[in-house]
Amino acid sequence: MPRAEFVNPKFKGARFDDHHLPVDVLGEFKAYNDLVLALSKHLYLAKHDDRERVPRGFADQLQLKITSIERGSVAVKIERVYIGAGQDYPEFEEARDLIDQVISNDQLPARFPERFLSHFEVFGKSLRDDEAIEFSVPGQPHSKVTTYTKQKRLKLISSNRQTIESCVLLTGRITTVDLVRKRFTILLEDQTELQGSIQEGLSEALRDAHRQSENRDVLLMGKASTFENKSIAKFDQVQHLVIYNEDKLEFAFPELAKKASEIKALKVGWYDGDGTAFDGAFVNSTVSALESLLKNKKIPFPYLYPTPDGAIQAEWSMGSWDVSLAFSNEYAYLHAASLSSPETIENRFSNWQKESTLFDIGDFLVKKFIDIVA
Amino acid sequence: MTKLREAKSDLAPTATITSSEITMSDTLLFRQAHPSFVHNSRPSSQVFRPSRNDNGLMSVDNGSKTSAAEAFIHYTEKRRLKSEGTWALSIAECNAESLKGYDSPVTEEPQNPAHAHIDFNDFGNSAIEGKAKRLRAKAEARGKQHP
Repeated sequence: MPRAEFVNPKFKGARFDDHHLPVDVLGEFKAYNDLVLALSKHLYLAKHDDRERVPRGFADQLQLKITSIERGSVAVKIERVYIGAGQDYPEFEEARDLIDQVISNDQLPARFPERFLSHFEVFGKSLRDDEAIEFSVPGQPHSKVTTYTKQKRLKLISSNRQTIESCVLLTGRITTVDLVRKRFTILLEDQTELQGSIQEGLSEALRDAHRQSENRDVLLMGKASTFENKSIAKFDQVQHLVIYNEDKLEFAFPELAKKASEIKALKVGWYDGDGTAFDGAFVNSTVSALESLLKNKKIPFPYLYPTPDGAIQAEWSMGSWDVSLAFSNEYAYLHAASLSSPETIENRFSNWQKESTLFDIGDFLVKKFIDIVA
Repeated sequence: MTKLREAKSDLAPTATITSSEITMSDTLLFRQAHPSFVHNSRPSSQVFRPSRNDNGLMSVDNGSKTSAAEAFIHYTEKRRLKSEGTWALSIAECNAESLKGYDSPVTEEPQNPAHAHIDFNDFGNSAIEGKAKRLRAKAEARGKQHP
């Protein structure tokens, strides 16, 4: 099969002076491979706005192989093997070059999302104080060598980056659930892994999603710590959750159908003598509108409450905003309050039963309150 | 500070109450949540604003005079009203929203010496809704106090 030089790392330091490669540095190759793959997926998706996922078989096209280990101290040659007649993707080489820039520059390149810095927790972990990996990339002058040291790695992972709280909407698969530490990991489409905290009421659903993660896509909305460039440092709190089983809705938190039934069953005077009864068709229309928001705009289900004057109030916790959308026969009244300032936002949507109005409502929610969709 | 107000609707309709401001910032004010206003354990913002018949005064119980459990029992057993549970706000959290809490003990049966209220009368609907949302988030973060 055809192959081409991809990168040539040289391991320098006392451990490598005998020109042998210690077994405990082998993990560095896997970590490097993972970083190249994750970054290349991100670069591909950044170029193709219309796609939510990379093409099928994308990852298979990245076949990195160690083809020689030579003296000097230990000079390794890594080549990329081209398989089959599948489409080639330049993003693999672009990712390689970007990693080279990240290591060699003092400032992160604009194209490198800060969330990928988490890969450096693993990549370079085996390096000792007096050791380095010198990377040379084919096509660049021989004098151009990028030196990766333990100090550089620590600088990358411990850079003092301020985070802010944001509302994020993520699609991915649950890869780990740790019920003891109440943490889970979600793998996003671009191969970024994010950790999140499990709160009460969600552990069972997340565990089920994890057990059958091959068939389960998860939509999460909640609070995350994010960097200035809108990359996600960590996921802090799940506020809304939807789990699909092969594209069919399997689980939603909060759930909708049971609460809708409860609202239908309310009788006049349900609120301590006050409160009107609800027409079943009106409740169904409201539920359909919320299903439409999920289907068309990926807005997860809200919490649902009746109001004594006969409206149905949907409420979302969207990061540091609390948002309500009160459906009445005449209009849907949106009210949002910032939890960190006195700011409020209001809007009224007439004819909310129309699909076009629901699109407008969905757009408004996404633009005003969701900071990052990934 | 002392002020006089007409009683809110869930008190005896003709009673007049004498109110004194609660000033200790760490005093908790207990609020009962109707079951329809709780979904998957999350209280609605409606819980933390006066309802349409409350004349702008939201009923609470003064945490320095009663417990979350006693407040719940009084509400559900003595007054025979529905509650999913007791949530709490502090005076400091109310003050941060420019809201004040007042003691307003109920002397008629069923008596409630711990009864108090938060006055929303200085604000319009949108402002009240904003305050209710921020108070809701504070109360939710503190967690249900009882049961």
